[in-house]
Amino acid sequence: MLRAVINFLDELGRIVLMFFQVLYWSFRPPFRFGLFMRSMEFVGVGSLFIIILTGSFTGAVMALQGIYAFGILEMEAMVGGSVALALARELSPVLAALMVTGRVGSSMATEIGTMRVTEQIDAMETLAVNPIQYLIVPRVWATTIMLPALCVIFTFVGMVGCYLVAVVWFQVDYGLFMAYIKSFMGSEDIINGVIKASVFGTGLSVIGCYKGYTADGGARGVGAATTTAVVLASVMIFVLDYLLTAMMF
Amino acid sequence: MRVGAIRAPVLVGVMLIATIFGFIYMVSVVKTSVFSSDDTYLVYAIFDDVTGLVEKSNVNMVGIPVGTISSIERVNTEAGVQARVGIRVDRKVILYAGEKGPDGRLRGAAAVVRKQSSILGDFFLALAPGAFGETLQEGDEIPLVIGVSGLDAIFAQMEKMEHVGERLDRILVHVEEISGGLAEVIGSDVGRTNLKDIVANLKDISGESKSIAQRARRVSEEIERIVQDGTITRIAANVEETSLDARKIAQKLEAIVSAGDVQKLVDTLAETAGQLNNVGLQLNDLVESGISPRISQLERIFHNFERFSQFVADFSDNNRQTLTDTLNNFKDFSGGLVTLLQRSQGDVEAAMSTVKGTLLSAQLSLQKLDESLENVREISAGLREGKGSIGRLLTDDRLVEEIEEIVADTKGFVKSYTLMKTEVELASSYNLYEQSFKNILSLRFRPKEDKYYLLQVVDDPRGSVSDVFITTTTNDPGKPPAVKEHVQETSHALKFSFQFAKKFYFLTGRFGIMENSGGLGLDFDFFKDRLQFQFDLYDFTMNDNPRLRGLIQFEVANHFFVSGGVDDILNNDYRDYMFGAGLRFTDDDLKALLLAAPSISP
Repeated sequence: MLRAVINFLDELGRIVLMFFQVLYWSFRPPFRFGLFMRSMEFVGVGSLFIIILTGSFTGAVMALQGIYAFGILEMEAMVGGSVALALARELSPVLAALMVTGRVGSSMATEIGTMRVTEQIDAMETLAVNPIQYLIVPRVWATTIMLPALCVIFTFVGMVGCYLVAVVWFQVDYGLFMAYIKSFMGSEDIINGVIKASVFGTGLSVIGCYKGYTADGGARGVGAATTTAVVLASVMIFVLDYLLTAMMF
Repeated sequence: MRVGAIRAPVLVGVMLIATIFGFIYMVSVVKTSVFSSDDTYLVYAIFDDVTGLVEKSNVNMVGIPVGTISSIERVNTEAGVQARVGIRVDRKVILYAGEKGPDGRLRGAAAVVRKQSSILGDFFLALAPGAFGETLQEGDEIPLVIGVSGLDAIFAQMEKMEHVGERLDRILVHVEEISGGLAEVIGSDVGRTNLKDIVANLKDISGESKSIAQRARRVSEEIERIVQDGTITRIAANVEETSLDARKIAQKLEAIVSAGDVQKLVDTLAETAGQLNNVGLQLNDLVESGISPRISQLERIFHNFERFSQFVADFSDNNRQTLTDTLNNFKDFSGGLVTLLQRSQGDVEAAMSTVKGTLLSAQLSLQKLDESLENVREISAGLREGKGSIGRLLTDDRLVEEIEEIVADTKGFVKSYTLMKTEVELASSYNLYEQSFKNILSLRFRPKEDKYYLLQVVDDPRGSVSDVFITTTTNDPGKPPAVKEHVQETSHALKFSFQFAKKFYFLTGRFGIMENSGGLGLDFDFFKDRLQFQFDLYDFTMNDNPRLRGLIQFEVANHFFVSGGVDDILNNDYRDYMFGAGLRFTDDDLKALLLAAPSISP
């Protein structure tokens, strides 16, 4: 038991140290703009489809359940406000981060892990190219910037899904629908959700890169690193979500 | 450029722009409060109970939000522990402190009511402005506070009626006992026997009643006799006198009641007058919004522009003189050249005749050349020893280094001017709602590829707006002591922009003066700057929100671009859509003007 606790703390410390290394190497030349752009495209543009899909259906199903629940009190119009608040505060940052973890975090761990076990990273160091600066810095910054953008898109399409179900399908009054959104939700809810997403993005990318960077044991080790990265990042998202929610709201 | 090389930046840029638009839209939709601290003043209200009230919730007047709850705190007052609610009220809404009437009651004062918004227990505050008295200022307390209303008030009344229920309970118990007794009396055999006895008794009573009726008849005969002898007439006269007195009393009461109606009517008229006064003041303040500081900015801008035009006028005068001198010199030079050519023909002929003499003197010249060579040898020896200015130049390393530095500095100076690009842009766009054109003349001075200075002259259909504040004071007791008047003057005048811009890859940030106001700009450039997404944020004080303009420009051919976008995105009442076209080219003449400008300085 004690051994497990020590191992956990050791792992946590190494992840935090890698985060500081990322910060350190972020502001030292050379600045590889092309790599940064490609990472942003991979993280942000590449995840658009899955985010739009999950976001719209999340908003729609929330509206459906909400209408059934509020219908008992004949207050179906409140579904707009309640879904908007849930999306902005919790669902968008958490679900978008989980989607990106599954798609991007695992990919980072696999890609960097494969480079590690095939000694490409060692070759990079031999050529005096810092692997953290070359491989990890662009990925971490790209995820930190693009996950908030994906979170905003998630919220937006989620509300579109909610609107379609509530107003178009169930004929909820549009004016009351919008009025409850304005009444329930404030701009700080959206901003705090975006901040949450940014923190999640940093966390999941650092964990994914760290697990890949420290992978060993050939193909099997890469697979294990990928699995661990996804699980660890997912748990981290929920833990950080609780802490941030307690601080923000 | 390969498509693959720009694919990632373009996609990322488009996605980020879409995200920014989505973010701005959502924030603008859900913005809970339109009242900033600058537009409001703080007043307080003391409540016994604030259950259901929350901070940042709206405060309404006739159902329209006019403020927000800024704070709720517990305070100790003479009445015990109470809750003090801070309310931020729109400055356009005037609240009155009211006045005490002869009866000591407060009249025409502002009131705040805690109202229930739903059966779920949510509450909000409703304000009534009052009608007369002094106006409430920052930190004042609202005089009338009604903490309980609606269902809460009904429940409170019902709580007071609890003792009635207890009495009803007791009455019901008594009724039950009585009905039980009756059932016992009537329903049993004894009861039935008793009833028979009662019927028998009633028979006896009816017999007795017959005799009583006979006696009554005799009594009526006696009464008739009394009437006939005048006794009743006297009683009637007394009753009439009494009724006259009662009528007089009734008339006096009516007079008192009437007097009360007049007083009520007077009170109503006074309240109405106060409300009309309130409406007048609100209409005055409705005109208000302030950009008074811009008057001084405009004055400075016009002063600077006057200096600039004076400077250009001076330069043109000096340049004209310089050009005139240059032309005169060129004329003299060409005249000399013609004279020289005319003379050359005669010189050739003369030279031919003197060739013989020249050959004879050549021998003497060779001797002089020998002497000259000797002098040159002596001079070169002196230079080697570092004698004289040229000798120092050749032998003193420090002097050479200084000269090299000067040359390098001069080279850099000349290079900066040589590399400076001057771009001229003339753009015109049509505003759909304004139904007029907006014209912009831009000069872009670009000393480096990644930065430039932007100077613009703008002809905006909205014109230039200036604020005038007029305060009128009077001693007339029938009028308000001071009336503040805010007049906005819109004139058709040019606007000016001067901005500094710095470019980072495809992103360009700008800041500076933007159409006579401070502003920020952000440009996204793609396809070698042929496609540009332009965002300008400025004019922060004119309306509720700053003026945000989004514009897309695409260069369809060399020097020619088309554009389209939305102006004043954040203000619904002023939002406008525009499309247009323009020309953009590099003007070498302006570049030459800049090169010449320092040389004409005295």
